[in-house]
Amino acid sequence: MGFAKYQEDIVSRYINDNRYQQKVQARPIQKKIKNNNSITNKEKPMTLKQFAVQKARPLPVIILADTSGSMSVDGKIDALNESIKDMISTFSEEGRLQAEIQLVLITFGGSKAEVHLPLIPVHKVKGVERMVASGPTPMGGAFELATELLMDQERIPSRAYRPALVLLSDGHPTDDWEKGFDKLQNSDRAQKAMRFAMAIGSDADETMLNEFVNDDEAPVFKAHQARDIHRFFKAVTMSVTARSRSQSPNDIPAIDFDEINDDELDLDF
Amino acid sequence: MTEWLLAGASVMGPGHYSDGTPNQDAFLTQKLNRGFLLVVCDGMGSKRLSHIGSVMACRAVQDVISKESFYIDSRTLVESIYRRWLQLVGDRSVTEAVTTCLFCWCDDNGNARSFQLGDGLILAKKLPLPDPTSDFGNVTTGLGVSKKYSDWFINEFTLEVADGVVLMTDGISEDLHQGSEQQLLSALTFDLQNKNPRRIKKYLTKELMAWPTPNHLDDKTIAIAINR
Repeated sequence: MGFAKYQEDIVSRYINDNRYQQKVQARPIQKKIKNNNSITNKEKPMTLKQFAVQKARPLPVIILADTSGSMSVDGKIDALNESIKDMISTFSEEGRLQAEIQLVLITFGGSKAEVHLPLIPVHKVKGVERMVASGPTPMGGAFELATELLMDQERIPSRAYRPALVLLSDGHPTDDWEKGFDKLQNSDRAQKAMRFAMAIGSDADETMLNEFVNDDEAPVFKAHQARDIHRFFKAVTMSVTARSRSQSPNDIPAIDFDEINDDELDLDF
Repeated sequence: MTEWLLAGASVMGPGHYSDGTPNQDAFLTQKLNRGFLLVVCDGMGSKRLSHIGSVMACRAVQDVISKESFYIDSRTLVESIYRRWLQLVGDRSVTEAVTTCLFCWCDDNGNARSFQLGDGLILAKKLPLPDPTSDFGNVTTGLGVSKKYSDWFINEFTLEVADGVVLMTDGISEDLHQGSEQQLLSALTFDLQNKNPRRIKKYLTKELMAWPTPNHLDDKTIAIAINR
């Protein structure tokens, strides 16, 4: 009996006692009010620094990757998975120098385009789920997702550096890609992203990819074999890291795809 | 007679220390016979002679305003300043001396006119903030690039007693919390109105040198005028 009373006593005092709970909740609020007062106190003036954002300016990199069925042939999808992994590890070493590199991966393969990796600072990426190749090539959907992201000032604020939009494809789009591309081209903001493209194999729609790139300094890269995917990603990685180190990260450095050392063996040591 | 307190500060961006390039910003604060003039210019980082372009832009504004009436038509004023800048930059490549140009010209009755070409921010109590930009950071226009009158953001407003106006380059404005601009103006005007210009410069320099945004690169320049 005595023990039960003791339990009831604890319950009533610490669990259902509203007055006690109110007191507990009130404490931190009082503390917060006190802190606010100390900021607005006349004796302690606000400083200019207090108005500054405590986050580095982002440099967004948006990858539009073809994961249609044809990518499963000749080890192309494996090369793409490895290249993305390498790119992330290089970026996370370099990314925090001058600009915070942020990455988003949009895949188009199967019934619709989808966000495979949402926008995230690259140094926070723990790993990327392997992409699997299947189905048709809904590239127009990928353009629409990229445009939506680029137009979103919450996710890519106006203080962000010009984003890089990287497209790689080994085939012809199977959806209404022109509608998506028009949206990208005609939007105030999205059209200002720097656009890189890679055509994989002879089936790729090179005319369309040529239309996609918007800088003479970075022409469409033509890949003939899976290992060329590595070379392309190395070139893009070098370009983005050069920008992140640069005093003017909005200037696009010229890319010479031939300069990438193809003699280097892919060994991890 | 209105008493104007004018002050400003400019610090080199950390990026310029590492590559040995000079501060590409310039500013000017000047009491006129009747009123004052504040100018803040930001030379475009990627251009070779932008540090010269920004200094020349300050001089161009000063030269033109010293000769003109306060009531000069805005278009004529902008054209005269642009022509004077081209003259001052001289045979140096104009496209290599690209700079933004922000200035505020105020008469002794507190009637102010503000002009802005390119990035940066002009803050005053009765001045509307520009629409949030659809661009990305550091994509800007300026003298040496723009030839359009419509690229200038021009306004008129009044400065009552204890009001202030603040001009800053995008090295500061791009790193400010969106929506906190008017609060910043009030805080600066309130805190600095009883200090002398030298102390204000020291305070602003100290603040800008310890800028808290990680990995910031740009030069930072600010100029302030308070009606006290």
